[in-house]
Amino acid sequence: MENITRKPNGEFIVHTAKGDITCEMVVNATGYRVNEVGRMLGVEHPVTSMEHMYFLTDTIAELEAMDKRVPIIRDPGDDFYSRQEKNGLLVGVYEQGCKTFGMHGIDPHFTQALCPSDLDRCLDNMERIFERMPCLTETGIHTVVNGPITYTIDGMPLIGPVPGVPNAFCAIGLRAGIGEGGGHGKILAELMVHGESEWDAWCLDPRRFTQYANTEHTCLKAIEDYQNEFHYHQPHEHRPAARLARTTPLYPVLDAKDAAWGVVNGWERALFFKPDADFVDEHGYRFTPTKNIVAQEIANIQQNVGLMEVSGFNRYEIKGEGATAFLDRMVCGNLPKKSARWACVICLMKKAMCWQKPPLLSWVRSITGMARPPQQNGMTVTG
Amino acid sequence: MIAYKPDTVSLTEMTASHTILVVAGPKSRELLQSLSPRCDWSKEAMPWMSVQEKTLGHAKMIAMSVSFSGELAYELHIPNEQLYLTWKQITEAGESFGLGLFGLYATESMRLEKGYRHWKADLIYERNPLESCLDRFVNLEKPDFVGKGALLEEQARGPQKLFVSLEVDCDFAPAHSGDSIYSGDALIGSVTSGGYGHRVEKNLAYAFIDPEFAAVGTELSIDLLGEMHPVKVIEPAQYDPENALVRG
Ligand SMILES: Cc1cc2nc3c(=O)[nH]c(=O)nc-3n(C[C@H](O)[C@H](O)[C@H](O)COP(=O)(O)OP(=O)(O)OC[C@H]3O[C@@H](n4cnc5c(N)ncnc54)[C@H](O)[C@@H]3O)c2cc1C
Repeated sequence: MENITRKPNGEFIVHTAKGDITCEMVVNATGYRVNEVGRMLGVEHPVTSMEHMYFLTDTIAELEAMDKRVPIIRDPGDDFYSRQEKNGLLVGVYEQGCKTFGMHGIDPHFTQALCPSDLDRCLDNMERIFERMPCLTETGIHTVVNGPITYTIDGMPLIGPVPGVPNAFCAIGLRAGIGEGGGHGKILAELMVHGESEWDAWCLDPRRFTQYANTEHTCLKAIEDYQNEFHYHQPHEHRPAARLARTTPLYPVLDAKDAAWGVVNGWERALFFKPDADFVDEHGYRFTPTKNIVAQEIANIQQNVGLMEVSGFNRYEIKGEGATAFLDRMVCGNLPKKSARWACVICLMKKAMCWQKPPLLSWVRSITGMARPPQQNGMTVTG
Repeated sequence: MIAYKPDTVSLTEMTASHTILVVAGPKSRELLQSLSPRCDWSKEAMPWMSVQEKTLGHAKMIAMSVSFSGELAYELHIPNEQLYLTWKQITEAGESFGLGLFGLYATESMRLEKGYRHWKADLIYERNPLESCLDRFVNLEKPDFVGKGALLEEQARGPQKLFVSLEVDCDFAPAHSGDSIYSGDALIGSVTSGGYGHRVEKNLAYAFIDPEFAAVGTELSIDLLGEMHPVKVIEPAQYDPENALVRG
């Protein structure tokens, strides 16, 4: 497939060496070539690739002698996995000194192909892997497989509509597509045919990232994700790569007050204020010492008054002829009857699943006495 | 949304151009009033659930009397070019009101005590508003709204799960989203949010569970970090259920 163009009626023409194909809908599911095909549609997806290696050993006599298969191993400390392959082992490594793939373009002839093996990158892991599985020191390696795997900013693939291109869909950024592909296929089919999925698939939705999600940002997160592939993601853990993607003018001010920062869709947000600059917010599944600091923040709010910044909340101005009727149709409850009031409202899916109900989807209707144009006769929706 | 939007209506994104400052606590009104000689922040002039344009010092903004904490509180929606100005004025004036800073962790704890939901944690596509116990935000008398037909069908079918608040009997860990809820040996639901409620001094969680177990007072258990702990269905608003504080 060499190019995609559009007919005036919006249909796609997929151009191939063997002729053109007209399509009402297209799906970009081209693996590590995602951005070559994305460019044909005029988009750049937040997907980059990392090289990943596993090796296959020669036959191991002990395995051959066994009447059962050995279990699969996933080692979060030494960053490797292993499973039996015939009478040898398949061992894959997530090395810290990892390598990106295709950042400067991909050779058009690289199809059904592999990257040159480079086990030296994994020496540090190898020592520890040998310690865990001494049999490997006595076994030859007969094949090394090094191929590109696609990564996204949050480690989850992008399954669904391509933002900004009607009738174009994607199933890209799959890190474990062999294991997960079936579920992704079901969700994608539902989205294409019905416009919505039976499951809440927002965590896979290509629209969950916005402008900050450029290729460089994606790449920095991909490297970090690769290095942490087998490490447990702790509750409230916000990893350090590619931070400060979106900040408000108060970032340096709050930082100087020892804010502990978290990140929500690229936006830096204060989680709590540290008692001193060196305080570390321990991550864990149990209560941590941070609980007492939060207790103090709350006690002061309860007795006196507290101040918090909330960055990056969705906010839309909806205005023009018919704005009220439009919004009224979108929500299943009542809009405020009086002017200068807000209300919580819920938008439903066609199939009546909770579609979007931000903690506060508030709105303003013709605020009386408003002087500035943006709010005049308009309403602001925030959430 | 776009699919239903008439051409005469414009939709403008203002996410990155404005920022919210939340001022919360019993002294919030006094603090804001002290900076606003020509605006009236009184309960009569700006009751709970109002939206008004206000001036603080010489900064202008949209103020909403809204509370996610359960205390008397205001959200100030400020254009970014006046964010620092507003911040500086509030923090300087705040010194005599005992103003302190707070963040997302405190907010999370306080909203759990009020029965307030978090989008994509507790509010998900998979559950309709009736199952989510948000009936008060649904008006089936309205002639039409997107999803009404399907919602009526689901109403006739009855809820598959119901949203509940739980008190967790465990002193070392909060519940985590995804933790399983059991009645005896039967798996009946899973947690959507969990955390400690400092003002009510309870370990709290939200969950979707089978409807027959959703009555307040029902005793169930949770699989928390591999061990079973007792949980009890409780009233959603544990803190100031009458909303007296938010009304000020
Ligand atoms: C070493 C290694 C180990 C892995 N281990 C696992 C594992 O254990 N478990 C697991 O679940 N996943 C694993 N993966 C990842 C898994 O292989 C991928 O997630 C999965 O193959 C992605 O499937 P896909 O269909 O999205 O893309 P691909 O399999 O890459 O398929 C994309 C297709 O698009 C075609 N294409 C591209 N451009 C064009 C064009 N212009 N015109 C026409 N066709 C085009 C390609 O030829 C290709 O057939 C591993 C990957 C590697 C490299």
